[in-house]
Amino acid sequence: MTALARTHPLRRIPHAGSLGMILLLLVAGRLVNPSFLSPMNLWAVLSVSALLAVASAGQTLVILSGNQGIDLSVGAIMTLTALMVSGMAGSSDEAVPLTLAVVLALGALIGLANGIGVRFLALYPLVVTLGVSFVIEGLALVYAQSQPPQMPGPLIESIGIGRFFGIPWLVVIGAVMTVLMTLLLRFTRYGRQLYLVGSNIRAAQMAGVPVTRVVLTTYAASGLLAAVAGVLLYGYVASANLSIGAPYTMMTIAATVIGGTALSGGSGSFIGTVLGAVIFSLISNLLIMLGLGPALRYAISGLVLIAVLFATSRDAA
Amino acid sequence: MTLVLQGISRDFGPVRALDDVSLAIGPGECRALYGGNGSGKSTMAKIASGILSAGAGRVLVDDRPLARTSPAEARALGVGITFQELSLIGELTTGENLVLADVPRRFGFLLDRRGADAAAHAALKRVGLAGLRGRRVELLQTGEKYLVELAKALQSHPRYLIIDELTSAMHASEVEIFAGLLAEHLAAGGGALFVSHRLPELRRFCNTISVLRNGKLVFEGALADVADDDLVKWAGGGHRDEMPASRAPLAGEIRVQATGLRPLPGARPINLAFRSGEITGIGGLPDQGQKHIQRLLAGLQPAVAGERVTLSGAALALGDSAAIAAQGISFVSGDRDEMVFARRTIRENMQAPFVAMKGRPMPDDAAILAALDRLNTRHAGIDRPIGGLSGGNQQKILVARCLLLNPQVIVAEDCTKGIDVASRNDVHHLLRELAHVQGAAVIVTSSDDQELAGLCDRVLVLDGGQVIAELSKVEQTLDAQAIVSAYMKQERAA
Repeated sequence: MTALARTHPLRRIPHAGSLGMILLLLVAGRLVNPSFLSPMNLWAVLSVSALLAVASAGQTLVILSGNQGIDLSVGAIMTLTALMVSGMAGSSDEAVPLTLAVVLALGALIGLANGIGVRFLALYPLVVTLGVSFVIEGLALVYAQSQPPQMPGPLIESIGIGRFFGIPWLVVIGAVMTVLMTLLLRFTRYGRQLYLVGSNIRAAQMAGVPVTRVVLTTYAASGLLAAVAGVLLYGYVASANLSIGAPYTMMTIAATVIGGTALSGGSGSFIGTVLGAVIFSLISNLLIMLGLGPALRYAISGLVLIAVLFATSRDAA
Repeated sequence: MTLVLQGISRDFGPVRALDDVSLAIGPGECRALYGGNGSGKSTMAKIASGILSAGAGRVLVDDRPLARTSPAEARALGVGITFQELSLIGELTTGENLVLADVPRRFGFLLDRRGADAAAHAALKRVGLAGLRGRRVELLQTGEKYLVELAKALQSHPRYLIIDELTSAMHASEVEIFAGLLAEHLAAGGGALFVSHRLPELRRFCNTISVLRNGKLVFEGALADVADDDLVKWAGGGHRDEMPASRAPLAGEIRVQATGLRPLPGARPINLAFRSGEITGIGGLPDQGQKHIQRLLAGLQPAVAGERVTLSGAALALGDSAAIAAQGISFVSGDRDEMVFARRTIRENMQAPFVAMKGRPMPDDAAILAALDRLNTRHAGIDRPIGGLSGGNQQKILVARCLLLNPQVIVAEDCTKGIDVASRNDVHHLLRELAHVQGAAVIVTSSDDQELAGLCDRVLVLDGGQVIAELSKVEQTLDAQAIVSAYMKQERAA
């Protein structure tokens, strides 16, 4: 019992590892290029991080839900959403509210389908969400062929690249999302039930947790949040294509896991994921600053990921 | 030329399962190993066959010691074992299962299919099932599976055969095959140890007997010399630790009324009632329907057609654990793997049922700490993960959770499994208070008949899904001896 009580002082600071990593990356960036710490670059990194954090919100919920929970359809949903917003809203703002309602509902429905596959068909989440992602990609292709993508209207564009009192809208949205997600996980009944289900689904059932409702809500929320991220991505890139969301599937998993959420479920936080997204974005940014081409950048960020996971997953165990 | 188990002791955590037990089996001898639930007889069989290690003592096979805990080594020395909980792999064919331990090979690494098939055919022919060698084991009937298990044990030509319970699901013709093979084995100079709690079987097959009670050897001798009644008494008698006397129950109104229960598939439906303020134990041999009753009441198992349960007059939403928990039934099991949120804190584990349901105020830290104190639970702060505590303390936390819930009904499934005597007494004390002071209906099972007798106000003894005895503390018909006699007598009559 005394061994439990003794803890390294650094461990008492939440997310000490991630914060240290961010500091390290900032220092390294400064050494590589003095403009790394310029406000412009920092806002750019934060915007990309916020976009990734929003995209990872659903992934965090799904991974927290445990029982091999993972959502491989995030990227496909983001692609479909971007294409649909582009096709439906066009370059004006008039149709934006209706369009948003449609794409967000569609995202939630796709997520619900994932949840049904996981809970009622008792399939592995990996298999269900991968299968669904192929279906969505097919739909996206059909949609893109009938509705050629357009440039976003002023509203969507300003969400993507505009600023609010000097702060990029993406960062504002990311901050709001961080607060909402944290409240959701810490203080709502659903959030607390999610941790129980992720930690031990049988024990949750024994305690009377409505397990099915929690699992379905989680996957539906993941689909909805992926759709939100798809809208933001479309605004940020200011165009839509068939592969726009694809990298996000793996990036969201990376951000979530770097952020300390256990892949086995039941332990983790959204703040962790946000810091994970910042780390991931800083690494990419640093590699761009070093003038590396995309090929090398991918390879190196992969290796760095493994190194980070090696360091963080050991102290999680 | 004997199989000798010498001074065997074995602990499971704080529980002493075997205490300095010795026995020997000579050529042509079939020794019965007899005892009630949890007497240590299966542990003894597993130690003899190298599946479990002995804490103290040694196993000698024809004067050669079994040096390692290894079934393969025991087999090499000449000990074979058959299990009731079968050691066969359902997805493989009967033939594959038989040759699994020693697959015929070509060039040392290639599977010799023809050789394997021939070996399987020869082995299965002995039990009259050669025609089934291509069939997957999961498709066999229970009796057939048992014979395959026996064929597998005989495959290595053991000099000593350990039979850990014959299944009651065996056909008379299958029992004949078994009897023939056993006789053949003994006539060839082999020995056998027959583990069972069924006297008719033991009488039929064995010539000597060792009786275990609470891990101690209480009798040894020729089976022909002793009467059934004595054996039953020796297996059930005595008290291991004195339980504090239970105060007279409130014997309140009927709280749970269950009708049309079918605890075992195909069994006749039964009706049960559980009163408030009373601790009711459900006893009997393992798997006589106890689990079905408890899990049904907790909503963890779908109802069979015709089953209906009311709680204080209102119908229970059978099969819906969340709804049943909200109706006021708490479930606690001794199987911590399915009860504990290991990664989460003690506080979260205590609050879990409140997080699960609406309308109940969340207990604050003071209430949680008070509940834990009542059970003398040791912990280093309730914001620590529960996974770091000992099993006994984890178990106490689960029981303390029931205290917070103050439920109408507590269903406790072997909830003191594997915890030490002091913790066990703490748990008993609390269950008594919940029943006798707070008026809950408490329904318990235990793998230990002593515990049932000490803790409960009333014990229903089940056999084959039927209540064969109802023992009551008030009427002074309840003690461990009576429980054991009830289910043992039933076996004798069968």
